[in-house]
Amino acid sequence: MKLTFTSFLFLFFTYLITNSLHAQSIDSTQYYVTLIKSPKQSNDLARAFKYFSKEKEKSFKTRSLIHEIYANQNLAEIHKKLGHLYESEQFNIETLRLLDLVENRTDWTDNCYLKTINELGILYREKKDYKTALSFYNEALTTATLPKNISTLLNNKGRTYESLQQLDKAKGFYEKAYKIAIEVKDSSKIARSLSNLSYVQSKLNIPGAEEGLMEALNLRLKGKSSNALGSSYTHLTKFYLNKKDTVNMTKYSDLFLNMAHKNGVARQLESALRLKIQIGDSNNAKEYLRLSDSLLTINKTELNNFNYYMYQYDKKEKDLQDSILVNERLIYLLLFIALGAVSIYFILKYKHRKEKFQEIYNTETRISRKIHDEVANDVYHVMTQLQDAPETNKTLLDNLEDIYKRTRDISRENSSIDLKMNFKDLISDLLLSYKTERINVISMGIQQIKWEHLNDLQKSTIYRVLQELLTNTNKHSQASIIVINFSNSGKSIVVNYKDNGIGTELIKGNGLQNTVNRIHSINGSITFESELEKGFRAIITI
Amino acid sequence: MFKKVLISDDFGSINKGVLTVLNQAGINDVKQVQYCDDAYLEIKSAIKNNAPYDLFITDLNFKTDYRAQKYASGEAITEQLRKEYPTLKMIAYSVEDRLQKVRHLINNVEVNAYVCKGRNGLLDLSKAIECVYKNELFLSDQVKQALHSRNELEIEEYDIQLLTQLSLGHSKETISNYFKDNGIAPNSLSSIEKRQGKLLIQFRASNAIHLISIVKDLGLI
Repeated sequence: MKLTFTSFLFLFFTYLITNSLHAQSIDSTQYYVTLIKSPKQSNDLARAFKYFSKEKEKSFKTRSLIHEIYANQNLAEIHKKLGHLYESEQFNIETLRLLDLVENRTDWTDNCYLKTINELGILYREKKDYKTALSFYNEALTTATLPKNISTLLNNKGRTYESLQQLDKAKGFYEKAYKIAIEVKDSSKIARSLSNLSYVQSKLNIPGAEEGLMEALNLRLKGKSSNALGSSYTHLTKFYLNKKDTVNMTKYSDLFLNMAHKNGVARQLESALRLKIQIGDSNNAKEYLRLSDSLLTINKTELNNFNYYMYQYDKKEKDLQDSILVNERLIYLLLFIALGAVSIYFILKYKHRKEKFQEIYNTETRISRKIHDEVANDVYHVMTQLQDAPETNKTLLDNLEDIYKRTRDISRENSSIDLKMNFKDLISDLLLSYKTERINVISMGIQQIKWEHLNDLQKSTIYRVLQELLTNTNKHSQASIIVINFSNSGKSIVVNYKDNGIGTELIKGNGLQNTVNRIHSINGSITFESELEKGFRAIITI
Repeated sequence: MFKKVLISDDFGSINKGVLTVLNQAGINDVKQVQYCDDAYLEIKSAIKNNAPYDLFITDLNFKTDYRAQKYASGEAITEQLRKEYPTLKMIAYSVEDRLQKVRHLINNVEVNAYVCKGRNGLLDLSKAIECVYKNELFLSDQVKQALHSRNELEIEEYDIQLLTQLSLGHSKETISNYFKDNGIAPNSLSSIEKRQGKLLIQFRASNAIHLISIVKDLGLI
């Protein structure tokens, strides 16, 4: 009973905790995704990494593939940000493997697939492994269905060929990407592919490149992405560099630099400054070097912080695991001790109870024997002497006889019961001994009862209670018949005692309190019914 | 009549009432001992001296005192004496009235009489002496049940069915047929009559109507 209650509490709290964690996790995910996009503190990435690692582990345990994939993507992104290309690749490849396991493909999984392939392509491009990058893009293209995704993939393929200096091929893919972007009217993708296409065209000396670059710039000026705008400024600057148009070259590189200054984004500023140096403007060289240095430092610090944080985190996790283990052991130990204590308590209590009853029984029988052997016997002797005397006072003799009988009854009610004897016979003899000329005792079902299921205490209690009830009837009821019906009711034994006497109220109260106490001491129940002239009834259940 | 009687009783002096009873019966050679062990020795030595006791009257319960006894109770001494002297006449004379004890002494130890100490104790004792002398068994009324079968107490489901049928006012013939139809045995007219007679006695009823009213009051039917 207590145990079930405790385990219930435990489950309840576990439920509460997991529930609140779940509610928390959705908010947290958004928070950490933002952290990855734009980390503000040097340990933000590390914190996000920790968070998504946990999420990944949790979803692995609950076999929630989608959540695991999502966590994986974020982890890959974090590594990429930190410049851990190899680790990022690992996560992306794992994402692909997990996506294969998803049974019901949805738009989300398709998008996810393309995004991952694309990421891998970019990673390989950055590693200058163009061949592998291209193979990833090709694979992605075989499954891509959404035009904007196809456009992106084609664009990236073009970029790869551009990096390989295969400008004709690059041009072909940019053209395709541009065509598709126009079909779906995606202005950012139109601008990107157009800008890329025009720049390659200019390198191939194909006319109309300047118009294309300007159109892309105008589109991007309407858009909100400063990175995209920066790309246009870079293209234009390089275009005019090739044309040796110093005015425009300076104009667009300045625009880029101003924008970068305004935005205060270090990496953008670095690109803008590098562009300046590339076009031979050495005015900003110092600033570039300083910035480059500080960027390197930032990057290094970020990396260091990440590594340190991860180390600390691992250590903390380990400590936590250890302490959980210790706590668990402690809990088991406490539980064991508590259980032990409780059982010892009950054993001792039971033993004490048993000893107490045994002691009561022993005392009762000892006193009974003394009364019987000494008092009753002596009273009898006095009686016989009086009977013998010539001038016997009859009233005196009657009184003495009354004392004698009462003494004997007390003795009898407390005398030892030979429980080694067949209990059916013992009960039958008890009933027989109350059978007189005046009262007949009738029993029913005494043979059908499984008396052997009762322990000695229960047996002696039934014996005593019946004895008390019989004595009561004998003394007070003026009954001529006593019927005692024994029956089994489930696992219980029911004794139905009834006489046809005057059903006096006299026997209620103290006279029967003793029987009630006796029955309660063995966890049984006894009820009485008595109405004047209707006899007396007692129902005992054990 | 018996000539020589031994009484074993832990009461200090010889009981005058008992002595009177014995004297009235014409027995004058009476000796009393207070311990069972003494009784045993007394009986043995009397036999050795060719003056054996004719009758041994013993209480069953003795106070325990400083003297360690080989035979601590009347039960123990009678058992031993019966083993050695199968024909010795013995009367148990005690406040004890538990039927098991009585039954044991009568059936197993084969004492010749069992007298309960009580208002009628002396009267019973004189009756017992007479009976034992005539080789008859004697038991005080209080313990006569000891020789009755325990089954006399019991009524069965069959009795309840019989009573139920009687309460419906059915004749014995109808009941007999009813029992036959329902596979209840015994169902012969005579056995039903016999059982009804037994029930009349058990419930102290004077006739069938009285019987039904009694069992109804008792809630048996």
